[in-house]
Amino acid sequence: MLRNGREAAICAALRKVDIIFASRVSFLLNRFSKAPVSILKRNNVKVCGRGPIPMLFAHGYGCDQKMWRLVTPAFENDYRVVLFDHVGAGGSDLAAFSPAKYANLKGYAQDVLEICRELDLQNVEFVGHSVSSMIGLLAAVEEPSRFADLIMIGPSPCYIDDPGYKGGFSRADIEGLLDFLDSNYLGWSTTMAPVIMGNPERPELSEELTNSFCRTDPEIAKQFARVTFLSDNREDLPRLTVPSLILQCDVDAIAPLPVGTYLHSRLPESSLRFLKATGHCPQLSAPEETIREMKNYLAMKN
Amino acid sequence: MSSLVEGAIIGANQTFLTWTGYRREELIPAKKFCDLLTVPGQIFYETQFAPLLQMQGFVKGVAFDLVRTNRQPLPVLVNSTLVAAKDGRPAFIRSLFFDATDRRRYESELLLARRNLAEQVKLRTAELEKEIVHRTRAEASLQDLTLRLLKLQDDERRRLARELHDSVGQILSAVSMNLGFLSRKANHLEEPVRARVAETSELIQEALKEIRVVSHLLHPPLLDEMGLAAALRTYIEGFSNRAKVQVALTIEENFGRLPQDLETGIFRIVQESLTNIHRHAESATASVSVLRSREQVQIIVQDRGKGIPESVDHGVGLRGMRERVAQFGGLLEIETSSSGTTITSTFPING
Repeated sequence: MLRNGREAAICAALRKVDIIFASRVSFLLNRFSKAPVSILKRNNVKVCGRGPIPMLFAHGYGCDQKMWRLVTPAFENDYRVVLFDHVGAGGSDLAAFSPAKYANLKGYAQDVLEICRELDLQNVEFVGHSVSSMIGLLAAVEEPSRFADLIMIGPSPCYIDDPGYKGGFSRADIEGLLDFLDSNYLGWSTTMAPVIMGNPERPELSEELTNSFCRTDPEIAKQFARVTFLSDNREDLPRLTVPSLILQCDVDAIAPLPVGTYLHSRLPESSLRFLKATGHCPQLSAPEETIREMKNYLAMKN
Repeated sequence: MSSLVEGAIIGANQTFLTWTGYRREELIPAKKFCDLLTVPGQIFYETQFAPLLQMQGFVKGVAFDLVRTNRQPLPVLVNSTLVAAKDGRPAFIRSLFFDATDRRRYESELLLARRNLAEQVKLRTAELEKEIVHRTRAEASLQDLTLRLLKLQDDERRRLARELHDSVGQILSAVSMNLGFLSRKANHLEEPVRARVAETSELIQEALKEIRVVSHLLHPPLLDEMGLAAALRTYIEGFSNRAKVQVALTIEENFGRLPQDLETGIFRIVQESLTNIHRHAESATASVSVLRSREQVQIIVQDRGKGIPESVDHGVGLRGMRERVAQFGGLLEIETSSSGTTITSTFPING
């Protein structure tokens, strides 16, 4: 039947609104999902090693997969070593970054599971540094059957102090960190962004960016900082059914000792080992000790 | 300033001591590099500065705030190098500090300006979005208004046509009958009076004819009774005679019927197009084709006139035509050049 004039006018107006809406949606879609980038390319996944059992290494905040280079050779004989960069870090596809998806650690955990599925990894020995310990935990809670163990280096389920819990930082400290990052990334977006965003294949730019691992958009880096340091996964700890090893450094400002013991008390089937290494990155400052503790744990397990 | 890989300060020059306010024995060996940093600086040191230094052997131009003994921060830029011992293992870190007080002030101004700019862009975007909604609404109500005007016009024309035909027409018919009676009884009257009666009778006939034409133009009665094809044929015949424009009509013999609204709409489009040709185009010929498929009706009106000047494109007449077509979910396309104009309107047939 024919519509009367008023209905036609309303329909026409709605059509116009629809067009505006559709154009915005497609703009957003274009921005965040250009061509379907493969998962392996998105996360810059590298596979090496000759063993049958997969060992998946996940770097923490502020770094990329290169920080595992002193550790991985020790496992290449017995394991299939899988390295990757979180989206936004290292050689990952910056265009795949979506503020909504990575608004919390679940988005990163999703990526870990997708990498596992893509490479058909089973009985994974997951090695996570810093915040990636919690990313691994979230992945293992969602799909426990895929993981054999979680090895956590310098983990913390919550960085901010709370009544009855000492994470080491206040909310103001974290806000301060974001300002701090601003002053260290100043000038990045105007000078580097066009170069990097225009070259998805990444020419090696490391010489020019010597105070950061991340040839990363500062806004992405800041969001990862915010998501990392404001994360609170204490509720998720008892849900982990996969056995875990906590490697606790001596004098770690990011994940202090009480945090390690807290984790050990909340994580079912967890082992806690104290390293002599100080700082937050024993895989760089004390690779031999880190390797030894990992191997001891894996040997004891089998 | 020199420090061990795990952080303890092992050496500092006098400038460093003056800047920070520490005495040498307070600093060495009790303090670590990190102890002189703000908490955000410590996080950055642990998560990025230290690992990077260990991986590439140096770090350049990192902006830190040194915390002085008086708790006042001192903005600095730091270059650090990892110095290796003889066995190749890292022995200590040598760091150079540059006072960056002025630089940091400019930077924070720049940062503030950037944030303000981003804020302004956000505000302006919101404003623009609001304006789009506003305009869309205004556009819609204008369209609504145009449609209502068209409808009013149609109704008014129909009413006028009926009025003319029914009341004025009837009165004139009655007058005509009376005059007939008079002329039959007028044999005994003088010649000039008889002539006036006869003349009046002719004038009445002419007025009746005129009323019929006007009322047909206002609303063709044939349209409702006989349908579009018959109404168009009659109308175009009359138009050709009146306007002295030779119009060729192409329409199927058994064109069939369409919903009344649509038939009126199509008729008005043809009428409006031909009136425009008569008034503006200066064309001696024109053609009207009405084609019907299962899903749509297409009306093509073509002339060999001088074309529509650009300024007229948004005129009220064309706008009205567009709205009329849009009312039925159709599409109006105008192709115009100095050698003629083609107006194609396509209407979907629903149901």
